[in-house]
Amino acid sequence: MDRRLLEEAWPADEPTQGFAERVVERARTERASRRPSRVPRFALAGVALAAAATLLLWLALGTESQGSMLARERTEVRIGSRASAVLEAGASVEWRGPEVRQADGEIFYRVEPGGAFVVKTPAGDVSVLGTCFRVRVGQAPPKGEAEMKRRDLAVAAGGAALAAVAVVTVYEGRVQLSHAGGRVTLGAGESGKLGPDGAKKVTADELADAEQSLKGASGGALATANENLARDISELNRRLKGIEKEKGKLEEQLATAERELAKRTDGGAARGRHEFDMDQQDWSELAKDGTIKYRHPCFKPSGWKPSAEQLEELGLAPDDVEPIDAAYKRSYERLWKTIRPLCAKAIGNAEVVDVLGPDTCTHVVVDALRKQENSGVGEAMRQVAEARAGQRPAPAGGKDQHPVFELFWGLTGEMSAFEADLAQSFGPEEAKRLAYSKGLCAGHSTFGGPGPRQK
Amino acid sequence: MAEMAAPGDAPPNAGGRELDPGTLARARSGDPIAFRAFVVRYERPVFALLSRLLGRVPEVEDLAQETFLRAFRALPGFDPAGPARVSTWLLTIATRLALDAKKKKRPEPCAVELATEQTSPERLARRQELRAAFARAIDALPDDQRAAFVLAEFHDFSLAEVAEALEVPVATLKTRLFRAREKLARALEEFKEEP
Repeated sequence: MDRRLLEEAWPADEPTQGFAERVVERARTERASRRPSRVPRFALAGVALAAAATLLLWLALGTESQGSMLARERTEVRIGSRASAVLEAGASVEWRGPEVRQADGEIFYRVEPGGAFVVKTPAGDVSVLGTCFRVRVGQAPPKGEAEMKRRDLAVAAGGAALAAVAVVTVYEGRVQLSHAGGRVTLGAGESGKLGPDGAKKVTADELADAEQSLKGASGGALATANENLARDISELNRRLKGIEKEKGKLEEQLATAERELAKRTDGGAARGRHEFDMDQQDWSELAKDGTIKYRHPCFKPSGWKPSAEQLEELGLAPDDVEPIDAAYKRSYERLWKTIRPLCAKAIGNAEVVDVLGPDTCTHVVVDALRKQENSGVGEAMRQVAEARAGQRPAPAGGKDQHPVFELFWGLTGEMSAFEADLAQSFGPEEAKRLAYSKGLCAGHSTFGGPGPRQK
Repeated sequence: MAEMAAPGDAPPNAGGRELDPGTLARARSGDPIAFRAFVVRYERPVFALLSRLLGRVPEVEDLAQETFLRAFRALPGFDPAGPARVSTWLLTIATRLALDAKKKKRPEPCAVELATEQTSPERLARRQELRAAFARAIDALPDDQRAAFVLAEFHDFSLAEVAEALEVPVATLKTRLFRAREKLARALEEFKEEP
């Protein structure tokens, strides 16, 4: 089917403004919370403060061995010499040596192996025994009220009838939950709960219920959380200004680095000719790892005619349409004559080949042969690049070669043939200008090579 | 890998062209600038794919973000020398996310939007009519046929790649594509006859 008609008939969304920045930021944040698996890690999560994330604040006071932090957005902090924690928005924590107090909020901890490390929650203590686990801490209705609906919970929160609860899931090693009412040790894959009724193991269903209760009760603690946050606003504003200044500097550095990267990635304009208008030196570079790149006129079986507007942009007259149209037709015939039999052989169905067309067929041939003999395909690609670089003789007619050689030899040579066609009507210089102009319909491809030749 | 532009060259981030191996290697090692280049390179095809599978709805941005985050997590394990192109791999992630999302939430009538243009009222009316017919045909396609069609026609997936993305045998895929094309051909053929 005709891609242009399809695109026209079925428009799609464009990326939204700043999309890449949002994704990179999320990835960066996610990366900050991940570490090598041999390092014990766990998370303490409480939803009571989650809504406080709407305030843009973060605060860190103290030193590594002693301090406190209140986070507005996901923030990492070092705790003592063995641990670091990633606080989710609205979470707060205090620490003194290896003892950490977390009243609520959602925090991910990473703890190096060593001596005792205890996280004290209102529901009980979580002792690290060299492991990896996650804990959610928050407040939930007392026993017997777990079935209350959200509306009821809001009332309960206002009336201060909520009880502290911590829910723990162990991924590796062991964790001990301690409570005045007893203690329980959890192994990998097990979950447990700390609450008014002590420490106990829970099933997957009970775990889900408990976490749901924590979520439902989160609104009640918001007011308290906001009071705490408000106390620190002036301090935070001061710090935010500093951060913004730093952010500006980093953004400037990022922009410079991106410009550099763009130059390296898309370079071509700087050398005074089109990126795909390659000479032997360009091919020598590509031959090092066997990469193949080429430009080709759009595959148009019945030719392609520039519109009146495009003619004007190209500086051409209406009479020039015919030779351009004819050059497109001949280009299609040349390429399809090469690609079609290779594709038919790869697929084994001539009808399907005609539906696929030259572009898809090119990939089908390469993919099919790669599955059969990847090394042969890589070698054929290298040979094409080397022949184009003048490092080996050009084949006579491109026949009796590896199918991938035949395919890429045809494709990489097409622009010269197209130019030669145009040159008959426009002369060589004008033909070159037209062939690589933005006004004509063209496509281009790059196939990564197999890598440097083994010596 | 292949990119078709009509007319002229597409911008570097327009779609099909693959990220260069050096930048890809840096992105795989977690370099944020290279990862940003990765996102910029592929954001357009990802948005195009998702919006054609889901309709032009706000969830497209969410799923696009999720696609890139999953890719970010899995990039270190991606083998650039393997059979899959990066774009194929990434769009496969997006396709599966979109199909999962559609399974979870049956969509409202799909919003296939019609392009508008400046032309004579008669011609515009004629085109709108034909495009509306095409849009109805698209909407009527089952999710699996629609996904197969979009991947093959808009994103240069080979049959094997589409089959792998949709986790079906190639023979099944061929049937789906045949049926999708058959249903859409009428609307498109009529449109194609436009002067």
